[in-house]
Amino acid sequence: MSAARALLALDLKGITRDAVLITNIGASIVGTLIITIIGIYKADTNWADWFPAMVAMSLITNPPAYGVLFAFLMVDEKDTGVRSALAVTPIAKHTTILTRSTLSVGIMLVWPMISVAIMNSSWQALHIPPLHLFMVVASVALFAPIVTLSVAALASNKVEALSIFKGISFVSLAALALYFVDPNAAYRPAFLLIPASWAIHAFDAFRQGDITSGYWWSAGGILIHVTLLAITIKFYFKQLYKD
Amino acid sequence: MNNRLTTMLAWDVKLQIRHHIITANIVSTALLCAFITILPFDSLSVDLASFFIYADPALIGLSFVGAMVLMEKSYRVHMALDATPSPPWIYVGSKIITFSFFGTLSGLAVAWVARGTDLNYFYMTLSLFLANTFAVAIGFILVAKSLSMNDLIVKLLIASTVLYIPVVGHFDLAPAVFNMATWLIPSTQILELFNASIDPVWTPMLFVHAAYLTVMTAIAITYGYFAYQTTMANYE
Repeated sequence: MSAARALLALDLKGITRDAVLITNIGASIVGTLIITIIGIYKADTNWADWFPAMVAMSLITNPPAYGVLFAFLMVDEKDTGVRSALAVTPIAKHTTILTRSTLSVGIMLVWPMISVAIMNSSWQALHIPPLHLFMVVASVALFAPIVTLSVAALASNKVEALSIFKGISFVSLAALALYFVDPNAAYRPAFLLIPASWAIHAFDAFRQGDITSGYWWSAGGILIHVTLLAITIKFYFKQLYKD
Repeated sequence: MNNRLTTMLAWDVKLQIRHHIITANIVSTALLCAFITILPFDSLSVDLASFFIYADPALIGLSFVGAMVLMEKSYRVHMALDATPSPPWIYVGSKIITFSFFGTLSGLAVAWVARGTDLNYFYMTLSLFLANTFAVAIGFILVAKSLSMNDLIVKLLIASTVLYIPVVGHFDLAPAVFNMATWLIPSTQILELFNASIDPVWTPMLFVHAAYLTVMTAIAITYGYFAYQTTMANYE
């Protein structure tokens, strides 16, 4: 565990050195505050109909935004040779992944709960219990380490890291289209290929009082993310350690 | 055209293809267009169309130019360029032209999907090129002041947050005093010029917006160029 603690300390140092984590949290807070302030002026108008979509957007955009912080750290490690050094230390290879995943998943389980509560304080348009909201948050939180590892594995430099991150973010954001697609559209099930869409289905089910479906969608989302994470970890090791 | 600039332009395009920047832009533009297509409107409102054009295509160069310059710095490209007869303005100019060109193309694709023939493409092209040039120049300023990728990400996050604030006023989601407070952020002018390209209403204020954005872009280019020259291109 001391190796894991040392790595965690190294990661925290890395992302706090240039105030990356603080700035990212700051940007999330600004976004949350903007939506909250809009609520003060528009909660009584038909803009309230769009509040769930705004919440859904904040829920699915946070994990890639935080996951990429660790990805840039890892791409930096590749550039500076730290990654090769880590590969020959006695630290178990899974420890490096575990520490990085734990921190980003931890943030992704806590921050969305707080931000949604703040936004809803002015809109008062979302009536779902914290446990149900937590299920939705949990169903998408693992996307953070998926982004971290896939960007770190695929990118050979910082520019490629940014390009890949942009591609992944846009594909993930495409799940929001579910709010605009005709409910009877034949191509609607195709959105299930986007992991974030499961969280949106869970969120909408809980919102509409269909608790059982909400839990099923959340469980499905968690399962898909766990599967994707396992594939990403395998791919990451294959790319970097040539297992 | 200057022969060195032509060579640098070709090289920058090659780099953007090699490092998947163009692929990422094609993917994001295609997804944005698909998103607009499935929206339940026959034709997007002026404000919404302007927002979609602004949301990604207008600011493409902001982040990518920084990452590219940092990558080239780590590969000692600037040191190599310093030993050639090619002046720093060729490097800066080439980045501005290529990123602005592809950003403009991406914006025009989104504009076409959003409004079809129902807009003035001449003014939209000018507005998009000006907006992209401004964004790339800001990217140069940020990267010149950045020590690492993480440092650049911090600055990009702050710059993007500031540049997106006027969107709130664009949709009339805040009191008038908020719009007045955000008037100085050039995204206000970018959004106004996009609006005017879609629905031309010639008011004196429109010329003020165009003049302000042009002046801010010129300042950003000048500052970005000197910041690059003093921090990255000078190895003496």
